[in-house]
Amino acid sequence: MTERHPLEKIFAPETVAFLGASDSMMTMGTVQMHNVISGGFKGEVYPVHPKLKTVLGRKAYPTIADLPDGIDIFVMVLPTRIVPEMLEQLGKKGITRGTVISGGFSEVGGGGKDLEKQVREVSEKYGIKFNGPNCIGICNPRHGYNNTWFPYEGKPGPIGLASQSGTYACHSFNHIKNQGTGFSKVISVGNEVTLDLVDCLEYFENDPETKAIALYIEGIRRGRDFIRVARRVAKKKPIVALYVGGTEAGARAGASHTAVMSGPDEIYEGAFRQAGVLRASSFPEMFDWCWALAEQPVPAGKNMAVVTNSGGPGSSFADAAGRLGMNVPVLSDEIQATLRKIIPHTASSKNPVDITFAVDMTTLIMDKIPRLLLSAPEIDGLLLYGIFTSQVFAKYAEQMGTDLPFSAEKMRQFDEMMSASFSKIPKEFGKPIVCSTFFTRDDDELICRLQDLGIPMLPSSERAAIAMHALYRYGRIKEKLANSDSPWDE
Amino acid sequence: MDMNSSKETKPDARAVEIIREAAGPGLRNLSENSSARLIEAYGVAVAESRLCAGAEEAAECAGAMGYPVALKLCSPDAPHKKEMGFVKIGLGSADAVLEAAKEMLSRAEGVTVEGLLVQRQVRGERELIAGMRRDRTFGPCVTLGVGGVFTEAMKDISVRVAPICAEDAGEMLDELKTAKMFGSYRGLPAVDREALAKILIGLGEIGLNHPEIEEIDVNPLIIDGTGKPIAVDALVVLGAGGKA
Repeated sequence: MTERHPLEKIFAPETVAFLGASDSMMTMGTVQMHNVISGGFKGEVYPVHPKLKTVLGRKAYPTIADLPDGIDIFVMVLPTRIVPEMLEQLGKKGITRGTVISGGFSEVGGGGKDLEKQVREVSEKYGIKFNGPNCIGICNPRHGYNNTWFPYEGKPGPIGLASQSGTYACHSFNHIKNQGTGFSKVISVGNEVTLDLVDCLEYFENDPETKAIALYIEGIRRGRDFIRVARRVAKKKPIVALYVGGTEAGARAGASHTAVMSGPDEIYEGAFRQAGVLRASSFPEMFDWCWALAEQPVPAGKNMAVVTNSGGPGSSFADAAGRLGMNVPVLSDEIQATLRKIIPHTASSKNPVDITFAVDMTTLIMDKIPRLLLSAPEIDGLLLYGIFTSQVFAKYAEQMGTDLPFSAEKMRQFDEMMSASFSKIPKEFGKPIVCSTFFTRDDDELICRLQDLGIPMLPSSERAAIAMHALYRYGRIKEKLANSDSPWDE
Repeated sequence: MDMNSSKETKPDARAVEIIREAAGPGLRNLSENSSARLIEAYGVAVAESRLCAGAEEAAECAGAMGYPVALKLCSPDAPHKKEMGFVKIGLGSADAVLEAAKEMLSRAEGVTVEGLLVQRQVRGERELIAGMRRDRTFGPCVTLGVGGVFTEAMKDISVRVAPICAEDAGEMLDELKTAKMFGSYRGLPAVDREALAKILIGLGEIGLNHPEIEEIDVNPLIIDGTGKPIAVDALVVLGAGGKA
């Protein structure tokens, strides 16, 4: 099979040579190899160790030359000084794709810089491509392949992450799991000696499992290539970047006023806008946006319907939407008249639609009202608060010692049916739904179910509104890039 | 890294000539007159001006141009000429021009004097600044900002990487926090967006075509009574490793 991108094998190998693992849990390499073999990886792992006969129960090979032929990739967690020599041997053996975890190169300066130069030269000589050095590794949950230092315990998802921080690459596994979504692929790029962020963008561009791309950036190496490639990729998939580095030598000494005022932060801001990249202001925000962008259609305009079961969250939605330049327009007389037939007399039909309390609340909030509002031509998207499991009634019944008209099991089945149909509404209408909830996955199984079905449920109305705005902005980016006559696209 | 790979254009012949003529050994920046002529070659609208050899010629020239005029000492050694007292504005008569010119020349000891620049005074309530700088990562970048005395305090700017198109230029203006000031505002006309785009695109082209130019500052860029932005002062800074 011809290789379309060097990262294909690095993300999804069948056979892995592992350099730097032993049976001691106190070394990084051992833990990383353990994560590979215990994370559901179905391929073969071939440890290389000069003394041990086996490593973590796998047959070990004393040298690289002793390995079987035709191994897909290598993972290297070795002392810095021997990395160039090991790459040389891997090159000779014909294993030219992999991951170099080892640090101590250009990031420490001095002799590290010389070693990195040697690494570059050997790599060029044999055509070796790898992520790193000085990185935490790579993770492909669907392939069960995770060579980082941290276990991936969540579900596979739609978000591809390329990170210039190792910790952000692997500690985010838990963040994303708790949030209710998951990664398609994660790559820690390290010092980017042979593969950089632009290469990652090009990989994600054609990776069918990646629906939204997250980038953690401290400094782009190929700025102009980044803009050109991102403009192409953003036509197909949303890119969200978190850039942290704007204060680095911010005010460069310059003779002109404009040079003094335009530091790296301002330049990256402009470059992102030109590149069609959405810039997030924090790590959670980047994932809020990626989640919404990966799962929901983009709104055609900025007119939002707000549905709530109580004043506060609805007002927060409307307030946040307004600050962001979106509208929460009063609904048409026709829609309001239809609404009033189904909502309690205490409820408001204007927008926000506040249904207060109703016996058939679940049906109203998860079915009838969303469908009615999204059928209105004047509405482009829906912000919703007020979903929680009907199991709460089962709990009350138990505490009060009374009987429910339905069994708890029946109610669970009802929740299941409602969430399945609710999660299809955005695609049916081609309009996005973003929800907020104060419940977490631990509190409420309905929240888990909806999140697993691709409904972004964020922990505050403000965050939900901001994510909706990101959807709106991505829609405009796509339109702009499709119709642009920018010289960057020539 | 090939900084020009996304757009190959040829350097403007006049611009090359201006740099060649103006540049001497160790020269760090071009004089205002050379800077203005250079950006003009790339389509930047600059205020009408003429370089005069002495005080008498300046007075004569001002009369032909029409009062009021601005008078500036033109020198590559005086990039911050305003602070050095080498700029006089609002001169309304031949005598005023003559007196200001003599006074400036008397203080110009040790400064290479290219001449006296007589400039038609552009009137406008609103000021922008524009510029080009070279960035290590992205190459030549174009900046637009709100001008005037509070420019640094407000730091209301937007940036794009060259080459830019009219769409980028429009976005740059709209991104300013005080963008409303540059629409139709209290009887003032909206800024001519097409004219502004021409200026910003031109600055980007200079950055792409002339690697020897490190920075450009167009400050101020005054919005005249018809909404047209006019460059009233310009500074072209040459790079230390430049060919000039």
